Amino acid sequence: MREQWNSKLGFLLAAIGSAVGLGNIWRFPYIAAENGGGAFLVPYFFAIITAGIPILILEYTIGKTYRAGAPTALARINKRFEWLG
Amino acid sequence: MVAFLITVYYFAIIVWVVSYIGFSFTEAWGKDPTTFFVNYLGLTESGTQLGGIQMNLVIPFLIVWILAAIILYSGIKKGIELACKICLPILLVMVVVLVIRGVTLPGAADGLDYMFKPNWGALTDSSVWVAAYGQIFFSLSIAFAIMISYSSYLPKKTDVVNSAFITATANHGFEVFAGIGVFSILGYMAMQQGVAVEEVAGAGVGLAFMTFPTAISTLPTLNAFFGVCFFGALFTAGLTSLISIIQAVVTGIMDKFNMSHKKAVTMVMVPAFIVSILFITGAGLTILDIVDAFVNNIGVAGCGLLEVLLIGWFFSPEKLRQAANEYSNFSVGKWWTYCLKIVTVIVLGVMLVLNIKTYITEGYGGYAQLDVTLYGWGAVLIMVLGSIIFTSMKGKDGYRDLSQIAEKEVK
Repeated sequence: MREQWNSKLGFLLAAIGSAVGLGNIWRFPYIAAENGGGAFLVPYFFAIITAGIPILILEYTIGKTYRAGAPTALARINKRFEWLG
Repeated sequence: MVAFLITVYYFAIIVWVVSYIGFSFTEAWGKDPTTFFVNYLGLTESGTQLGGIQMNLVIPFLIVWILAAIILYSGIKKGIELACKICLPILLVMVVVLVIRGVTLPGAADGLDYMFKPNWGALTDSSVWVAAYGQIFFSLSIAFAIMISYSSYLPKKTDVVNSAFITATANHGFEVFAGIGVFSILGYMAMQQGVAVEEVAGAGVGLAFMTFPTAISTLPTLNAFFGVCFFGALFTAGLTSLISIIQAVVTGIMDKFNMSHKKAVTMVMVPAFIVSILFITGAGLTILDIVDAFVNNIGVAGCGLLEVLLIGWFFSPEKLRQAANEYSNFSVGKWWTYCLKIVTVIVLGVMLVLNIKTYITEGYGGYAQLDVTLYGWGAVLIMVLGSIIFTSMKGKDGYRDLSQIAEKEVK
């Protein structure tokens, strides 16, 4: 039996804990300042909506549906995809 | 494979952060944090001069390893979930403290002005858009295999659309918020030193271990307290990310060879421990910088591209969309498929080509060509070879049966 998260909150905290890393603290402000300052927020939000959230939905769906880590989950989608994981 | 490489060097940075929490109490870096940092690491001149293991790094090295091992051996619920429930509130409190301190300092406005002052002309520059997408990819830990691994422990009836929105909002909200803290403190420091904010602004290792210690020492009071807050925030943010990266490798191995969680943890931790010793030698920073750039800019961008390309074009994303919507309050529309199939493919493709071109024609970061070839392209080679070897190993799971089961579930 595969272990599961205690609660959805637990999963969310773990996912947020994973996403929030050193890059959030030491990379973002500099990238923003170098790339148009306040104007950078426009492509930034655009990228969140067109790439960030869609790919998160994709990965959550793959993980949840195929019940496995990346190599096996991708292999379950198509046997030839395993190497990508 | 990518995740394994990141594990070993991410680990080294956290080791430094742990030491710096200790240094904060006495402001051990003195008046010249840059020299202090270089001496502290025993930095050698090139990546091939290892210069031996730095003994002062051994204790923090062991502390972080033992901590990570305890969390991972304890499993998903009692280990990772619990660790995140403890770390995240601490992280938030520390960052709130830094932001409040930051914005109430004189000169904060200069720093924020530097960070937020809009230069609308930049919007016509394609490199700005590429930078924005790059930031989103690195920041959300997409294509590191982490999110697939974590979500494989979800119950079937989970609203994934809503979870994705919450994760993204929390992550980016935190990012902008922390940025306010960092740049207002830098603005203050620039004012104290009588220089422009541009001159002190930076990113990465230089910002954290060279610029920020200086800024902390210039604060009027409670320097040690704010030092601990800054490095404590880096530590908690880094630790939760580190365990997620290791767990991604663990889940991969566990599912492939159908072994127990604990056994898979050992299979990952032991080799990772041995390789990461390389990063506490005198050449650690040089190797880290090169490997980091290549793994992120080529490895992660490449995997992300292949992932959306293969799934978007050679597998039916519509099927996954239905699976995503099945338990979601808010359904994703067709736009989702188009974003994946077209927008992300183009952006990632451009990013990857530009990165590879720059590294081939210009090398990287002014390091010797030998070092860049050895550690940079070497890392890329290891990723490719590692994936091929891992795939060719016979797993204990019959994929065929499972893929049929999974197919049914999707339908």
